Amino acid sequence: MIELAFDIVGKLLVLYLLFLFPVILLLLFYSHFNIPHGLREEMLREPFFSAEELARISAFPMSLLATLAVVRTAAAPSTMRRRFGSHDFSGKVPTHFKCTSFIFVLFVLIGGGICLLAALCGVLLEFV
Amino acid sequence: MEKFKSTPLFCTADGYEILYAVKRGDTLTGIVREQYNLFGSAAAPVVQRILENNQEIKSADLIYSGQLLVLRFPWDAPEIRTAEQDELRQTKKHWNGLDKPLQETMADLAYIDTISGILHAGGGGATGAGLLIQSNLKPMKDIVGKYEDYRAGKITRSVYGHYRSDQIKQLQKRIGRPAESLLFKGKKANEALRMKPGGGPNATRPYLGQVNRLQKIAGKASKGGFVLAAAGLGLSCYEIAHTDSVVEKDKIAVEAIAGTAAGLGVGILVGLFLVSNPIGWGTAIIIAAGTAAVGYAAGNFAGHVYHENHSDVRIVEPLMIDRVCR
Repeated sequence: MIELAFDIVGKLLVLYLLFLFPVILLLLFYSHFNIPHGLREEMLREPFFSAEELARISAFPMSLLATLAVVRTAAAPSTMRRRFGSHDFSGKVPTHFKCTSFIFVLFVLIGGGICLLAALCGVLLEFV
Repeated sequence: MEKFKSTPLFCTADGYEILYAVKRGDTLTGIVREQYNLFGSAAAPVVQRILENNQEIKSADLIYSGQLLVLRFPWDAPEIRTAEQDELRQTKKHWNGLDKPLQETMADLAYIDTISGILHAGGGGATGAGLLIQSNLKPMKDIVGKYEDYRAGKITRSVYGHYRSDQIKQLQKRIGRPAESLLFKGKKANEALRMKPGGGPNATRPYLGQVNRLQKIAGKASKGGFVLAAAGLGLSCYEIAHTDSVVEKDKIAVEAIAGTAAGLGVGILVGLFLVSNPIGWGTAIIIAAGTAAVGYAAGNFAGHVYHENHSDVRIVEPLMIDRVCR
């Protein structure tokens, strides 16, 4: 049984390494350099982010976190209510950016899940 | 009885060795007292043995916080000579070659372990922790503003006291007791974050000192994260260069690549979760440690999968990794 589980997770990990991870990186950088004009300034400002946070995420590579905030807002606006309150940015996000953001978030969730499973298997290896 | 404070890295029937990160205020005799429960004249031969095992220490008085030492248990056990032992010494060499402030910060952020696998993934974790500490400094700085308002007579003492107490309680809630103890050197936040009694022109100095210290830790952790990641990959490079078997070389490469990719993947996942709300330190440190562990464990599993199912696939040679790692 456990051998079968290892086999499945092993195949998923190969899928992650060869396909999901490169696509995630590609989409992350695509999103980073193609954030719709004006959206960054609209979202990344006080009071949504503190002055400290803004200073921190203004330079690469930390600016990727700002990209993640924009991408998550584009893909699933309702999940960012704690930060943005009732502000609705969906009208300002073009459809193609919403699509790539949604795929990115989906792949990150699946990829993260695979990594967690692989880590669990890595721990189980010690006992099997 | 010896006090056991760290995970033993390599064991034989004769004993085991650990890597010990020197803390602020440590001396060799203090370390011997703490780790071996020996003091006075009984400590002298142990100190001598530590100096022999750590030849980069020029004098017993010259150790610095963040430096790594190899400690052997029992102290008079014969030397352990294995391939892993070489790796341990290389790990130590890489670590001790980093900037001193970075080593010190990494030793402060005690969740970073010192074996090579953890170094790969720990880099991302440290970077994240730095960012998160940074983002929580504003409420602490706001207390200074309120204190100045109180001194200027704009608000009453009880309003200031209530505000300070409220902010510190929130902070304690977010970071949790273990992180509070780590960041404030064993003290509680409300004990560490105090203005100078009696007021005066420099009343805010001790308080701001604490805030500045945390700010420095945050900056160094972010920077140190990248250094650690690079050091981890460098170690794999070293292992590849010093392994004869082609399959073993490929396995090491798979572990390093998969561990780094898994660490990054989980790091992005964690980043996606974190950006939605203000971030607490305790959560951050726990998540950072978790991310590091996930990268390490996933890398191990990837090595196993490669060894069991794909050992006919060549990686190091076609990618010319061995030409880089000499």
